[in-house]
Amino acid sequence: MVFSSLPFLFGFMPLYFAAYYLMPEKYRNAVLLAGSLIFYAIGTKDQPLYFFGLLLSMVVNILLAQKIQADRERRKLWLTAGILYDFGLLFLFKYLGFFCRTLELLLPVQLPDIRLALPPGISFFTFQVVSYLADVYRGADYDTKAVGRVATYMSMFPQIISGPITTYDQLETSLKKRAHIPRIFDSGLREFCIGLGMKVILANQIGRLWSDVTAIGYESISTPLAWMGIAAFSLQLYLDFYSYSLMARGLGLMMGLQLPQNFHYPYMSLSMTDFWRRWHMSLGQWFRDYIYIPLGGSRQGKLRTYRNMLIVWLFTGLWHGASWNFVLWGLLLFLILSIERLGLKKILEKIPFLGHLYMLLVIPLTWLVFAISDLSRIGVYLERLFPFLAGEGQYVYAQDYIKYGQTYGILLIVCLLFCTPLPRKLYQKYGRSLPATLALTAVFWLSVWLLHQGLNDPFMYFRF
Amino acid sequence: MKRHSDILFSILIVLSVLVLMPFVLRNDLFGAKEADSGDLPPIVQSDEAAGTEEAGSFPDESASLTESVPAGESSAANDSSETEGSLTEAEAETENTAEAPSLEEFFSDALFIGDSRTVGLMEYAGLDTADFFATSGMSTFQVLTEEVSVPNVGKMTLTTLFEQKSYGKIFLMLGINELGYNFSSVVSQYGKVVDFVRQMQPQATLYVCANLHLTSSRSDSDDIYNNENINRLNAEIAAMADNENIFYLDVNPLFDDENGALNAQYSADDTHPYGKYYAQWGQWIYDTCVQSKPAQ
Repeated sequence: MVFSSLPFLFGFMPLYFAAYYLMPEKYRNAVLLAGSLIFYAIGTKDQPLYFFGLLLSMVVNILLAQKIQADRERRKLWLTAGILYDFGLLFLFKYLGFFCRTLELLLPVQLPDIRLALPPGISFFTFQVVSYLADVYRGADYDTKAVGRVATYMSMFPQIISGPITTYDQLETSLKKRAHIPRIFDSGLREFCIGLGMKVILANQIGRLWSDVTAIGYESISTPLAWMGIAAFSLQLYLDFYSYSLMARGLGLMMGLQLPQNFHYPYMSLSMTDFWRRWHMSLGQWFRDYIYIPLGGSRQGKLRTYRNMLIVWLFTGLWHGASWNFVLWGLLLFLILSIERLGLKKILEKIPFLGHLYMLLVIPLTWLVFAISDLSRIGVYLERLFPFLAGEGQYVYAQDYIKYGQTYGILLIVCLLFCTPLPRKLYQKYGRSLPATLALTAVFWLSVWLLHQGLNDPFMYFRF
Repeated sequence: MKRHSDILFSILIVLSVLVLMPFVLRNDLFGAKEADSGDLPPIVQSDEAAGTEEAGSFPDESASLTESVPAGESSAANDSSETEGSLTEAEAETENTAEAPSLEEFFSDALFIGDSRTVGLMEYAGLDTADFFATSGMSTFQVLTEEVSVPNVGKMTLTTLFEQKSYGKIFLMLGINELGYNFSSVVSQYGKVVDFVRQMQPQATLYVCANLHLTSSRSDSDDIYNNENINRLNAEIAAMADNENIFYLDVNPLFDDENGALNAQYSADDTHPYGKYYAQWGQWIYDTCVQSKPAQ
């Protein structure tokens, strides 16, 4: 059940918050835990085993953390067991199929074609619980016996499906005791509605341009449309994920919980290095704290630093998806970040114009490798982006960019605007004024209307 | 007062949710499926049965104009081999040894009327000499009244276009957008469009075209837009052909997989072929028409 859906907005959310605020304060964590489990159970109603899988994983990790804390001599063993269990499950569900296909390429073997549906949120859940185990292993003074609190941290519905990935210390204090202030609740609801609007009004709509480009086939798009298409994909990816993080943060605030910021205007960065400090920040921090620094970070010589970066970016690639294009994407990022580290970054930061120009090229091109899972199709798309590589396409409708420009041009500009800090600045200044409050209410109505249209009017989204 | 302004937004949203709730509950969360299926025609298991059943109830006025096709023939008409057979008969009748026109010549007096699939032909098939009265989402219910931008001609209704220009061949491919409506009213409306075209452009050969199939994955997961319903409608369209002035064209065999669905390799959205396949489609129309019914 995604946040931007009518069942969530008109079913789960009002019922949940009514229950939450009708309960006395000391039972509210219990409501949060129960609500989160119900939320996950609804999301996995077609695969009920996954719900019990989540319960099992929570129990296993809670017990292992207690062991790590109590049995200091063998804590390494318990941590290893936990990591093997958590990553083993992730491997089983997410990577086994990819692994088998790769093995078949390398060895003359025939392996069964295993395709398991991915349990919702497993990539986020795994990273979150591993951070918990690792923190306890490192001696964090978490109260691992507070089972209810830890279980709530592991399964909290605002973040279990798509993050942000939080460490236990970010939430422990507010899980113990938090204030419920009407104004904060209101701010949370506002964040939620801003996220909802960004997802339904902007991200979903601009995403259709990329779908259109895919439907035409990359061979048959003009060069301007190829650029519009990859721009649309880049904007959709950002606005979609950013809006989700905003909704998660908003839901947290509505309960007095502070979830971390996950994005900080990444498209305004001057370098890729900077970009990855502003994009999906909670993931970057996880890789930094639990992979890069334990490997030695940048303190053990240049060679080791690059080795560590390579490992981090290969894993970052694979975390995003189990296919070769994600490996290639990770390698590409490693390459770009290495070049920046060797000196390019300094130049880009000194001349901001150059930095923005560089990012204007690098962002869509790296997302291209992310977007297209078939490597040969990436080549076809590149030929359309840079026609001097291959000449004119075969069946190109030369005016296509005018047609799609008329449909999506304004939306593209609005989406670009939402990549800048301007809307947020305006909101901070005028957000609580009456007109802005009414406008945000209108955003809610428009979002609901669009969601309703998408459900009931197939012509809206599927016109032949 | 200040306290109220702190939570004004929350109050507005709670009120909004309360106001919208009955509507959403009725239309989206609980009532949606039943309401939709109430409008849906009963899905008939076999296309043949559907064809026979509906052929009898076909409106008289249209039937007379299309020279009425026996029900038995209509029932088999959505089978492509039968259709090609009927076109070959036409060829035999009007056998003509004159040299076949080039593709450009052939389409120079042609008009295509249709929905997004026809827009695809317009943009990607390279049929530059033809005219196109097509827009995404077009249906038989709109086509007689809506203004459409016809490249190189201008924005106008079909009536105005027919008053301005005279065509030798008209290709009509509509029907999929109205699959959700009452079936007999869709068939009757299709007949009205056919009548209209025949009245306005009696000199033109009218090709009524089968709606393109969807891929299996779309077809299997959609209660309305599925190949069963498309075949059922196509059979009715085929029945309108008289093989004298009105011919039925079914391109589906060109793009179908072994299950009679649009081959998934040809489409990314399960609905439209990739741009590059429209040229094959255009060539197929040319080949089929020229072989079976030489230039008029």
